Amino acid sequence: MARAPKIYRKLIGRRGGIGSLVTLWIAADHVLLVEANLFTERYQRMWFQDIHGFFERPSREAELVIWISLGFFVAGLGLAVFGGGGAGVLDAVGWVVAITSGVTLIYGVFFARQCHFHAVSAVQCSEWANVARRRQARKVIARLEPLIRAAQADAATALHTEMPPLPPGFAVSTEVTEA
Amino acid sequence: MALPVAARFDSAAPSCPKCKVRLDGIEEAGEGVCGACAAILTYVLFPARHRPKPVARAARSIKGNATCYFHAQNQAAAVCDDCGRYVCAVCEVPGDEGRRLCPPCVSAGRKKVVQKADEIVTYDTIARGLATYPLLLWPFTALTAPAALVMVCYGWKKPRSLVRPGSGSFIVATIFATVQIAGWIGFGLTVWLGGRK
Repeated sequence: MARAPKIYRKLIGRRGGIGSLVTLWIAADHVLLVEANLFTERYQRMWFQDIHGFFERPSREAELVIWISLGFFVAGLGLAVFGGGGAGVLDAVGWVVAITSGVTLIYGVFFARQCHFHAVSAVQCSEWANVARRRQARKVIARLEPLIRAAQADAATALHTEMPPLPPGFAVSTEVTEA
Repeated sequence: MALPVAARFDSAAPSCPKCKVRLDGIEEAGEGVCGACAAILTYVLFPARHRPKPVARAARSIKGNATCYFHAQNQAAAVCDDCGRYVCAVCEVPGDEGRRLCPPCVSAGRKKVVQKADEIVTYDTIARGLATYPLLLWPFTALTAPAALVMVCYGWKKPRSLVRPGSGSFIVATIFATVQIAGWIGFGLTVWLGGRK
């Protein structure tokens, strides 16, 4: 089979649950959201000229993960240092808790979900699940905004020419007259 | 800033992504709180939201003219290329290669169309998985290695991933499966020859 031309570039990397991954790809005139599971890939396209806007709303997931794992980290560290007096079982448990929660803390700080990102068109409101950090959301908007504005230049022109300027000598009265 | 709920239907007013209520007073870009569900929203909007939605309008039928199969009061605008029914401008659905279809024919063919356009089976991933993951439980490779080769042959000409259209996974699967099969053949020969001696 002849190799198909590569028309997509990766915009934002993978994110997903067990056995499924979501990635976002960019083409010349649209964005492609790919949901891949073990055996299939499902595609959702959104054309630049149809996108009405992007919405970002905060998620508390990262905050919760950070505070809970910080609590366990401090408790585990306290148990390891002050609990068993050197070489007891409590020391070992403390270190295990501290290390596990430390890893979770790193995940919370750098990878956990900070926001939900939605792309809205006239007929759909699609959540881009792999845009989970505010930095990623800013990156997506920075990459897509110029392309979308270029694709919608005709819509913007139509908007600005909708109300033609008044001819000379005419003016819109802003005074309120009482009956 | 609280974003009030739109008092009347306004197609240019965007909806809150959480509660789907249309919001008023949204600028090009900014932050606000949804007046209905209190979700904090940061947004960027584009000019396309001011573009009016195209609405199909069907002409009323005059006595003696052909009418739509689904709307007796509307004048027929086209003939369905699949079933031959007359359809009005509301019912007419543009299909592939300039075909014009009626809604039931679109529904009947939808599964096939969706399968083709929006979802594919990634045979390369299956073949690669069959060739590599069972190495962790190596006795299973006696079954999975031939299965991986079968999957490579079956999936080679099937539509490939839109974003990773290359043959890399198929090649990796072929190499791994061939090595495993060669290993099993070698093992079998050794056992057989050892038994004969």
